[in-house]
Amino acid sequence: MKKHNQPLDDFFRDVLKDHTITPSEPAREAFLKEAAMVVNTSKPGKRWFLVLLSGIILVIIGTGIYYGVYSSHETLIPGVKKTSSSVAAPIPSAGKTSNNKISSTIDNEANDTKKILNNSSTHINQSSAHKINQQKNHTSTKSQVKQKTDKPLIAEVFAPASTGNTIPSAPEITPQSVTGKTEQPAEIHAPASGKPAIPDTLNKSPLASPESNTGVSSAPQKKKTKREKPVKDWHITTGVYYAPEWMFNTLEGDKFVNSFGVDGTFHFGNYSIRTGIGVSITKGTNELSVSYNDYLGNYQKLDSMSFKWNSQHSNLVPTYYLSDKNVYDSLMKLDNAKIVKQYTYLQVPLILGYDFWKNERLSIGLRAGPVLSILLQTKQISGAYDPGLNKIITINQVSPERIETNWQLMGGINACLNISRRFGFELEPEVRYYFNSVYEQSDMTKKPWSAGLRVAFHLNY
Amino acid sequence: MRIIGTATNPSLTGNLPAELYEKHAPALLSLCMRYCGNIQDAEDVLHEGFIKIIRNVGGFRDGGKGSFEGWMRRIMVNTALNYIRDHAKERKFLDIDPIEDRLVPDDDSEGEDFITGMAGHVSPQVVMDLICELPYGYRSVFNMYVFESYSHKEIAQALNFSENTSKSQLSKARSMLRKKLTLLMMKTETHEKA
Repeated sequence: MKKHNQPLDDFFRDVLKDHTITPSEPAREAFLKEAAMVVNTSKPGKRWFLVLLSGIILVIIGTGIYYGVYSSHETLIPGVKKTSSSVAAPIPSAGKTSNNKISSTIDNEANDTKKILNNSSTHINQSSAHKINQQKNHTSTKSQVKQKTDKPLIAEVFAPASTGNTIPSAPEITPQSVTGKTEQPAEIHAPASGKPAIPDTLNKSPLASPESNTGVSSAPQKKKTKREKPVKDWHITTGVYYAPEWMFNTLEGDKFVNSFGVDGTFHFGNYSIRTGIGVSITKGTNELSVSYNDYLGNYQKLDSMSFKWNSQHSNLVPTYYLSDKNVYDSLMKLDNAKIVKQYTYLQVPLILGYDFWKNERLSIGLRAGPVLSILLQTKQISGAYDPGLNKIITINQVSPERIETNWQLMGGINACLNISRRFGFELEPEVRYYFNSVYEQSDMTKKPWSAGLRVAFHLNY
Repeated sequence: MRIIGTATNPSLTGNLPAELYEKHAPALLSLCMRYCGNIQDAEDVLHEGFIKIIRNVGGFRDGGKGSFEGWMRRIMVNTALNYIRDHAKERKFLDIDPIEDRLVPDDDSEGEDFITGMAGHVSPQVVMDLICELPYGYRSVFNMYVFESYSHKEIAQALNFSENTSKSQLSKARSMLRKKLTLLMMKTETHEKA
């Protein structure tokens, strides 16, 4: 209903519109002192949670970068890994030099490679002799194995020489003593025969290409091929997860949410789709506005009285019939009470993933997708409001009710460590954005978001 | 007022209370003064209200300057009303009209012209004093109706009396203020003539 426009009201409104009174300095100081105490009583758990989350993210990123760099280095010199990695690994410069040579014309490759071989041999003899000595037994064993396979050692050890990758192992192993052949690697002859051996070794498998170029028997290659299991393009994992998360921007401030459940993931190549079913449990405070009358005391109200004639004393004996009556203040007072409720949600995620880096044991990737939350149960876990002896007049719920269904968008970084062929462990720092408020009255708050950490154990199939 | 389960806002930085206080305390103290009638009580209410604000500011993220200020004003008004109730036990919250007041006809339209003319001649402090001189009940109803734009129904619910009582209290508050303004105007004119 529209109010009457009163000149008196307008007068007071206009005059006092911008009226201010500066609080006294003692009042200001008293407030700031108490406010500081209020601020300092903030929940320490959230800080620890965020620090832990940040630490895990840093560890995952650091691990990813470390393994990524290390892996790319190994990928650069694949032949070394297969033949004598312990010897070749400390000499990246040799490989790099050779790769530079590879990029030059084929006619110059033989000479370049010879130079590289000589330089590398010298380098190894001078600087890495002790390392090679340490590895001698291992290398000898390998040589013996190779002898058993009737494969000329020089062919295998020197085979990737055209790429410059197996240079280090050649001179120290002294292939002459094993095979009685000259030191000249097969690839060095290859350019002479007009075959572009170097591009082949780059394009093909590091082990296969030298052999094919040199015409060495393919028996060991077959053996290795037999060892390699056929790589499945896809696989399925199922597991259980627990995901603590801290939700921000809710009406009750920040809150802690526990989620757990089971899920299954379909992996194909670097991509994956994850879904499952889980339960999310959180607590919430509901504010009540209680109006009541103060209890002041009680008295005994006289309901009735009767008299009985006492003939002995010739008087009337009264009998009083009383009842207790409480007395309440007539003033209505307001109280804000808070009750704690527990909300249980059913969560159904549909998370898409892409692993940007992976090896046999560890993979790191991105995960993102929607999560559907459905409110299953609301349970009051704190006691009901206790008015004491006061008389309750009304109780109104100030906080809005929780919404039945909401959607979230989840994004995170997933680090998966395969403990064994069967079992794996996942860590996934994640951030969720809620598409709609968790309250019925969505206009009361902005849309919440949360930061969490998903920990999962899974089985590989 | 009792608050069960402190809703401390963990995201509250150390500077926010001071910033909020510096920015909003003068205007809110003026509001408290209108309800309490004296500066000591007003500062107590301001203190209590601001503590509630910083405890619950995390729950209010609606944005928008106006709505946040409105939210703070509501907290202050509720705090002031409770404070007045708590400290007014010895007094009667609903003031009994003096006999002479009953003789004054309640005509809200009376004296509109002179009120409009006084707008530029009366200082805010004088007007504030006029409000502070009102009895508690009149003052609360007048403040809630005029400054906070509460309806009579809302005032009646908040102060636990009937709508008619609210209307009656407002009418009497206006009448009293009108008389005080008339006296003030007469004094001013006499002073100017002298």
